[in-house]
Amino acid sequence: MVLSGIREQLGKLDNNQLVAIEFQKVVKKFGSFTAIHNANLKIHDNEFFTLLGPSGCGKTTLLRMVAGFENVTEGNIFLFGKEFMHLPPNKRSVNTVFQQYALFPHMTVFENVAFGLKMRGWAKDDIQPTVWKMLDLVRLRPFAERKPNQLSGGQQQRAALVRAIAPQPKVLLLDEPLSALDLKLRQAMRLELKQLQQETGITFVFVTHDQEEALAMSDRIAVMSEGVIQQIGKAQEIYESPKNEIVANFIGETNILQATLLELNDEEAKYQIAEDFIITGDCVSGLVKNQEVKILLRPEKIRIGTSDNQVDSIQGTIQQSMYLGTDTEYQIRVPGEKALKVRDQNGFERRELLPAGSEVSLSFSKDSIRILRS
Amino acid sequence: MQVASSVRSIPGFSLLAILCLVILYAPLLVVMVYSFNDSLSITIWGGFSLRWYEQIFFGLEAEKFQKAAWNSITIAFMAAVVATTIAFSAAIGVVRTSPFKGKNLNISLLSLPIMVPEIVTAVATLIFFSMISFKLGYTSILVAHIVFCIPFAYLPISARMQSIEKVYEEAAMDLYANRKQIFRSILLPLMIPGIISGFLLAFIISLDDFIITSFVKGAGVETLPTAIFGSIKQGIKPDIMALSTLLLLVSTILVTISYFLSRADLKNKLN
Repeated sequence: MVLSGIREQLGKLDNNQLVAIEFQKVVKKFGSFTAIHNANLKIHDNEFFTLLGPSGCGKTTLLRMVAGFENVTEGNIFLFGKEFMHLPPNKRSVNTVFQQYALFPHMTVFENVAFGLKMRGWAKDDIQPTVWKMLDLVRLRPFAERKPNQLSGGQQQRAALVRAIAPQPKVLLLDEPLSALDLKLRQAMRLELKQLQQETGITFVFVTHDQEEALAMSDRIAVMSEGVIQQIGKAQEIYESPKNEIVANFIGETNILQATLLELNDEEAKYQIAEDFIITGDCVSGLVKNQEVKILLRPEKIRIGTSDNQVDSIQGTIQQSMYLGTDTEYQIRVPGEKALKVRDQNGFERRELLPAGSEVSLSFSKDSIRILRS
Repeated sequence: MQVASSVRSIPGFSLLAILCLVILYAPLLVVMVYSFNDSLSITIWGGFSLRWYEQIFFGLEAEKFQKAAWNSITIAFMAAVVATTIAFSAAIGVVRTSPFKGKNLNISLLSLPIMVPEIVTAVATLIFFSMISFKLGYTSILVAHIVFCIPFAYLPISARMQSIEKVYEEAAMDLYANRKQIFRSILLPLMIPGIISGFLLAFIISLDDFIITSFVKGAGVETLPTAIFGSIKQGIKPDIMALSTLLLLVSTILVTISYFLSRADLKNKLN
C-alpha cells in the first residue's frame, strides 16, 4: 500500500519493526505534582499496545499527551519518527475513543461517524460509502438514524469506536473504553476490539486498569505505577517474569517470601525462607552467598499433595479454604509462621475440598519460582 | 418504616395544600373571570360579555394601550436578544475556561443584581442617566432593561453550559474540528435549550417590569405595566382586567414553552 510506503520513510525501525509512537524522556508535571517520571517507550506500528496500571498511575496522562489535550513538561514524543507536539489536537492524525464515548448527543449515529470525515474536508460522495462501511464493520447499519441515547451501552461503544476509526488515523487511542460495560459485554468486546485492530491494521494504544483485559488483547503491555513505567513486555513475560514486586503484585496474585541465599553453583541455588523451608531455584547472576532476596510464587504454581524427586516439598497446615468454582483457594500455614496462598484447580480429576486443619505437603518446581533482588 | 412515605399520609396535607393554592390563584382567577363581566362594576356579575376586550382594542384608551403594548413588546424583544447574547458570551468566558484570578468573584457579580432591591437599581439608574444627561424615553428604558435582564438570562444559560461536558468539545477537536467548527456544530446546538430559556426569561422579566421602567421612562412614553398603573389611578375598570388577562396569557404561553423545552432536554439526558 502507498500508505505503508510513506510510513517506512517516516518511521524509525526498532528490532525490524516500524515505530509508531516514541516517548523520549517524557516528564509531565501538574504544578508541583509529577504525573510522569521520565517515560521512555516505543510503540510499534500495527501493534495492540496496552498501558496498564491502577487509577492515578499516569496512563491516561500519557494518552492525552499523544492526543494533544496535555502538553509535555520535558522530553518529546514522536509519531512515526516526526515531531508533532507543537500541533493542536485537530491537526494530529491520531483519534481517541473516550471512556464515556462522548458521542455527540444531538447527532445521529451516521452523523457522528461522518463528523471526522467532514472536518477533514472529504467530499460528500466519499463520506457516504465510508460511513456505511464503518457501520457495517460493527453491525450498526440498522441504527444509523438513531440518536446515541437510543442505543444500548455496547452499541454506543461500537459507534464511538468506528467514529474514531473512520478518518483512518495513524494511531487509535482507547481510554478505558470497556469500563462502562457489564462483564459479559466487556468480554465480547475484547474479542471484537482485537479483531478490529487486526482488520484495520491501525496501531491501537489501549489504556486500562483491568489486567485480565490487558493480558487477553495486547501484543505488548507496559505496566505503570505512580508515573513510572515498571515493565514493558508481552503478556506472558509480564505475568511469568515480573521485573519487580510492583508488577508481580499488580498482575495476578502472588506470594512474596523473604529469603536468604544459602548455597549456589552454576546451575541452581538454594534459598532459605525458614529453618526447615528451603527452596531450590534459578541462580540469578550477581548474587552472592547470604544475600537477602525475595521469592515470588504464583498461587496456581504450588501443588498440593504428592511430590516427586524433581521438586522441593514442605509440610503445611490448611488455615482457610474458599471454593471458587473453577478452583479452590487455600491459605496454608508453612514453616516460618507464614501463610501461603495456593490455588488448586478443580479440573479433570475431581478433588475433595480439604478441611481447615488438614496437614498437606506442598511442592514447587524450580521453574515456577521467580527470584528478585531485595 | 418507609422513608419515602406518601405525601397523603402527612396530617393536614391536603387542607394546607388547597389553602395555599387558593391564596395563590384565586385573585388571578377573579381577574380572569371578571374580565368577561358585562357589568361596569368589578364586583357584581352582570352576565358574559367580550365588551372589555373590544374596549381595549377599539375603545377610547385603545390607542394608548396599543402604543404601550408595542413599546413593551419591542423593548422586551430587543432587551432579551441583547441580554441573551451578552449572557451567553459571559457564560463561555466563565464556564468554558480554566480557572483565572477572580473567576468566582465574576460569577457572584453576574448574579448579584438579582438580589439587589429593584428600587435601589431604579434610583441608581435614574441618577446615572441624569449625570450623563441621557435623554429619558424609549431608549433609556431599553438600555435599563438590557442591563437588568442580563443576570436573568445568565442563570439558565450558565446552568446549561455547566451541564455540557467538556469531553464533547475534546472529541470534536480530536476529530479535526477547529474552534469555529466546534462552536458552530457542537457547542451552539447543545446550548440551544439554555439559550431559549434564557431569552424567554429575559423577555418576561422585561415585559412586566414596572419599578425601573417608571423611574427611567420620562414623560409621554409608556409600557404596558406603567400604562395599566396610570389607568387604575382613576379607579379600576373592567378593561384593565381584560388587559391583565391577555398579559397573563402571553406569560403563561412563554413559561410553558420554556418548561417543555427543559423537560425534553431532561428526557434526553436521562436516557
